[in-house]
Amino acid sequence: MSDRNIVAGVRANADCGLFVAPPGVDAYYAADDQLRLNVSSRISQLIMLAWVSSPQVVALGLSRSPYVILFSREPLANTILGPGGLEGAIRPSPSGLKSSSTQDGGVSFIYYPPSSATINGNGASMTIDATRPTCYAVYNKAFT
Amino acid sequence: MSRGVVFQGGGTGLKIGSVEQDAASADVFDLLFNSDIQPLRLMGTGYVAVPSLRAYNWSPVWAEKSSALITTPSGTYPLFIVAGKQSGYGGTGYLQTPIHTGSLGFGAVITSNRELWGLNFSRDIGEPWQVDAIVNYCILKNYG
Repeated sequence: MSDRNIVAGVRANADCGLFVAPPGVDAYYAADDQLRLNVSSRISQLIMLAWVSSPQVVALGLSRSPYVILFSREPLANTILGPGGLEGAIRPSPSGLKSSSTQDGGVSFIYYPPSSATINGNGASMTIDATRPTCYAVYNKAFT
Repeated sequence: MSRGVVFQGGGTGLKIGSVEQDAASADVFDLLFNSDIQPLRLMGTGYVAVPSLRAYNWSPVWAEKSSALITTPSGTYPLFIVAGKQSGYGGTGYLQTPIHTGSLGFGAVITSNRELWGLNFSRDIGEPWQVDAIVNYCILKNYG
C-alpha cells in the first residue's frame, strides 16, 4: 500500500488527531519526529483578546476556567530617550516607569501594583484589576 | 456517532476533537484544534543587548532598539513574552522574567510604531560599567 501522507483519526500507536507526513513517510506508522504536523494534544487557542482601560468585569461565557495573559500599555513620552513620544505594550506590566522626566538626577519611579485577572463562576466571567490600560488574552487551556 | 475530525460543516473549516469527543459538538475545551479561533502562532524570536544606565539624569531606563520585524495593523500590539538576564558587575545574572526594582531590572516595550526596544533599568554608580542586560523576546502573531 502506498504511503498515507495524511491521517485523520487514530493511527498505529493509538494517537488520535490529525497527522501530516512528508513525501515518502507513512503518517500512520511514522515516529512523532518524522511528522510535519501532529495535532494529537490540546494546543492553546485564543478565545478573546481585548483591552480594558480601567478595572472591570468581562463576560467570558465559558464552562471551565481558561488561561489569561495580561500586559499593560504605557505612554513613553519624557521617560525613555529613544522611543520617547510613543506609547507601547510593555513588560514588566506595569513597568514602574515614572511619568515625567527630572533633570539632574533624583529620578523617581512610580510603582503600580501588578494587573490581575480573577476568574469568576468557573469561567463565566473574569474581574480585571488594572491601574494602566491592560490587554487580556484568554486561552482555552483548562487548568481546573 | 462520535466524529474525531470534522473538516467542514456548519461554517467550520476544521475541528479536531479529543478522544471520544464529537468534534462537531464538543465545547472549546474538548477540542484539540478549532479553525474558528486563532492558534498561538509565532511571529519571531530574538534578543537585544541593552547597556546599563551610565548617565542617570535624563531617563529612568536605557532603551535599545531590536531588529524585530513586527507586522500588525496600526494601533495594535502583538502578544509578546520576555525573559532575560539582568546587568551585573562581572557578568549577567540568571535567566528570569522581566523585573523592575527601582535601580535594577530589565524589560521590553513594543512601541506604537511597532518596534521592539529592550529596556535596562540597572544604573551604574561609576566605572567599571555593568555588563549589558540580555533581553530575549518572543513575539506572537495574535494581536489586539
